Amino acid sequence: MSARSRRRNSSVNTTLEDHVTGSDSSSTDQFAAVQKLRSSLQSTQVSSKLPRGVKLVTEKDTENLHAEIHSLLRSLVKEIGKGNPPSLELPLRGSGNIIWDEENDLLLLGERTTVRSLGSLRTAKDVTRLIRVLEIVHELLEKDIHATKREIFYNDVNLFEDQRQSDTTIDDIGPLLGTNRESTHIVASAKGTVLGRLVLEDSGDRIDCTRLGTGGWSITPFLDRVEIVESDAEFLLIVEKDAAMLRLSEVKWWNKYPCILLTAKGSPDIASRIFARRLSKELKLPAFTLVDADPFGHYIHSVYLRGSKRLSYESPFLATPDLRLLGVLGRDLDKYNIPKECRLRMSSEDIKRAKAMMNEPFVAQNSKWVADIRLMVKRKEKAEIQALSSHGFEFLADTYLPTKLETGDWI
Amino acid sequence: MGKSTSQANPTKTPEKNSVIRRGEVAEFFRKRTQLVGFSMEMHKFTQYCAEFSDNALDAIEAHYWKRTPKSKKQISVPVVLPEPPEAVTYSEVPQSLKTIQRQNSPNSISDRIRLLVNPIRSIINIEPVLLMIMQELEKPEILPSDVAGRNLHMFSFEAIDTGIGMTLRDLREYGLYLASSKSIKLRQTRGSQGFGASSAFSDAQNTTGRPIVVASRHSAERQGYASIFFTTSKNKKDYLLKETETSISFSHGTYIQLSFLNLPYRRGYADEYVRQTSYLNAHVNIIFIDPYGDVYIYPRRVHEFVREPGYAMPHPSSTSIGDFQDLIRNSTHTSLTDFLSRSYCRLSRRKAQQIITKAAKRIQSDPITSRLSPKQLSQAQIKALYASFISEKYYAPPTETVVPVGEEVIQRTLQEIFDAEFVEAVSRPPTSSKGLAFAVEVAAVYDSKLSNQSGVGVLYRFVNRTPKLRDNSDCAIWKAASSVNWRNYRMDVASNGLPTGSVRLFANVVGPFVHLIFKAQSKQALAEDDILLRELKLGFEEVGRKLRRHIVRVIARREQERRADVLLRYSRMVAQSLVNIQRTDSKMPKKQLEALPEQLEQVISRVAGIESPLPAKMQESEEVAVE
Repeated sequence: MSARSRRRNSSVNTTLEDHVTGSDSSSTDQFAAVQKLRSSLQSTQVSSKLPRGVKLVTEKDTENLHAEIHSLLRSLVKEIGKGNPPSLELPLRGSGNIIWDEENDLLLLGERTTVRSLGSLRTAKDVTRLIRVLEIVHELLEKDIHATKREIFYNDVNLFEDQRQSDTTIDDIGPLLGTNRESTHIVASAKGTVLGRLVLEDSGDRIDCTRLGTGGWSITPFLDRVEIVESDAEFLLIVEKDAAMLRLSEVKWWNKYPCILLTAKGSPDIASRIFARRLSKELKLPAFTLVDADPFGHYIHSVYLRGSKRLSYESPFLATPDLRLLGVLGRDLDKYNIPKECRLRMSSEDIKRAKAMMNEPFVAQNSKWVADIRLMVKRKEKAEIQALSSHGFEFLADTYLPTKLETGDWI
Repeated sequence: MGKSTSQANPTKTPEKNSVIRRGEVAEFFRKRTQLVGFSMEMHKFTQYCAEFSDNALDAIEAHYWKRTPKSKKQISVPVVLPEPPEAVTYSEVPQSLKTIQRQNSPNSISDRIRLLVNPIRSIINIEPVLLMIMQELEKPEILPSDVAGRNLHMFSFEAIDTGIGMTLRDLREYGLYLASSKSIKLRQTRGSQGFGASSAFSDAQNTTGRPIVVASRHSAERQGYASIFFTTSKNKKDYLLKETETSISFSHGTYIQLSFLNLPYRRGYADEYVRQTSYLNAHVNIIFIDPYGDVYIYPRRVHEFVREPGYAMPHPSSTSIGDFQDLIRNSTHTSLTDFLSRSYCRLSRRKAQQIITKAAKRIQSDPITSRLSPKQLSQAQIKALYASFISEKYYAPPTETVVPVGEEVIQRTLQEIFDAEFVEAVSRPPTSSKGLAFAVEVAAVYDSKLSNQSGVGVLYRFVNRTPKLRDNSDCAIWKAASSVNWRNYRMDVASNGLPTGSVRLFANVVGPFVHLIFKAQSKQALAEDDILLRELKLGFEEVGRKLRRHIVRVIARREQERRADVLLRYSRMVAQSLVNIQRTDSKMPKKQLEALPEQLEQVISRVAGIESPLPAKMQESEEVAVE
């Protein structure tokens, strides 16, 4: 009995009572905190004008990218016709030349470039590799297929010699075309799963993620073939571990608490991160993570949040910037009376990682987060999500998560 | 005044107490042929060829020079020879003397000569020719105890040259010790004092007990003569056939025949010597036939016959006091001015007068005037005269006494022989030492095709155009070469100081000077005279600089080619990729795309600094597989 209404990118609110199947506390206050968060996200900010010389890096669709490649090479051929050796001007993609406008969530590329010419012995091989990869990308776009980095390497082993070389060349294609990796149809294998209140179309197949049993939909790396059709979820919950996911999928938790569940079964792969970001952005949903109460869990959260420590060219496209850390927090161990025997001792690696995280600027500026990590370190205690089962298998789904959501107890 | 001759008053001493008597040169050297390079070893083969080719080449040159007109200054004009013969062949190797009746009559000698000359009869009377044949004879029956255990073979050696030949009188003297056609006046000749042939004859007789056969016909005479003889320790001849009129199948020249014992023949010695001789004697046709029956022919390569070296009186500079005193002692001049101006070149009467005046100032007590005759001078006066003589400055000795081969001829010859990518020769202007003139010529050949060599394989030494194969590291040429910093000229250097690799060095020292500076009678090495060493070093360095320029250019070219190769390889891949991509671009003009591969080829070729290697149309086969 799920009467669903189409939810677009508008700010129309409908009552949630329609979706609740369970009998437990179904007051509208239940999601007040969540809704408040949601409305804050929906107000989009006007993007400021770009400074001169700076390029905006955006996703580009197949047709546009195809045309852009042709246009780039047309001018190259013209240069050759004039009698000049062809050269490619590559914007630098090191942290010194990229700016992540976090407020507007835009990736900007600075003016610094490097020129690689076919006429110079030093760079001739690079140019050849770049154009070779362009040729492959062009083919992928034309045939509308995808390829992995390894497949590209195997395409011309003699020229690339080493996968590291072909990877570097692939990294350079993005800045050259002013776009992200995904747009070039170069993908990596995915391992994530999605369940819950989401209808999407995957390569023309309509998929209702509430009706996929307990296993869920495997996130495909060909995300350009995926279209989000509709969703009436209130939030997105990213779960670190598959075990926790199973707990929730068994009871079809999304029927009681309308949400989308996503897990990458540990360290997230690129496709999972991209999809999490997409769900959050397109549906303007608040997103939460459920991770272990240890530095590694917090690290996983940070990866979904903004990617690797060093700002890289791709990370903005893989980040879910407004991600909130729901649990399990260091302070939850006491608050929810996790018995001492279920808590584990922190190892020296854990402590090292915890200290490293606290030093990161994006962590340091979040005082609540720092406090939580510090608490864990002080106690030298950590606990897994499964430790919650000490209060009963249903504790996670019935008590812990709802309480946290209701009280807005997140970082 | 005057020389005091102190002769001991001969008292009548009993004969039986006197023990010193003068020995005979012949007696001494007959038993010591190893001093002149004849001992039981491979080099003996070389030495026979060397002695007789030296004499032959000198004789041939003498013949041509005699015929040429001399200008007023007594400088000869080089003879222009006709076009060298198209091909010189020696079709049939004559039978060895083993199977033929031993020569003991003029007719048999005549027949033998005719047999040898027959294959080259078309050129024998119009071209300068040197023919040498070494053949194996029957094994020796008896051997002396000191060599009884060794494996010795008997060989015959015959040489024919179309030189000036010998008159009857000359023929009688020929082969005796110190009998030489080269006078005491030192000139640039190969042979000098008359040890060569005589030592060869001694060795031949010593080892085989067989006589020497000589036949010769002088260019000015109508008939030739032949003789068969032994030379004795009394330096006389013991005849089997006294000089007899004989018909000889060439118009002028000499034939000799002898036999000797030695170790079994091996290549790399006599044949190598003859080969190297041909390098700097390209004005003569040289043919050598070895005991295997292999014929080595080195035809004439040049049009001009080599110029005759002039003769000059000794030069005042670097005359030692001993030489000076000796000249004075033996002088027949009646005045000092005469003595000085006529004994030395570059010394005019006026200069002589200046010297005498200066000398007079040195010893006021014992006045010297130009009227004195040399013999009248006292020791003190001689010393004073020498002192002022030596302190004067003189013009350099006349260079007509030195006849270098010349840069052009050396270069041309070596280029023909080696066909190398780099051949350069340097002929330094003549200079002098010890009063005699000499000149140094150095050449270098370099080509990556040449095998890697070091030491003797790299440095070829020549003295008066004669190759020297022995006593290599003892020679001034070697020492000068190893004193050069070859690394500076981009060469690898061996521990002996010589360069190694695909390089060959040639050094030729010419001039009358060389006769004074051989280290031993075998004439294989030059002593280390300062001026000689300096000249050699400068010559090597000059040729080294040219070599370095070449090597640098080769390296640069190779580097450029490698770079171009790499760039073109990549540009072809890029062209293919571009064509593949732009094929589907509707906005791409078709003509521009079709022309792309060739255009890119040309652009990159130009950038790499080379000519575009592909022809006008690029091959279809250059496809890079694209999935």
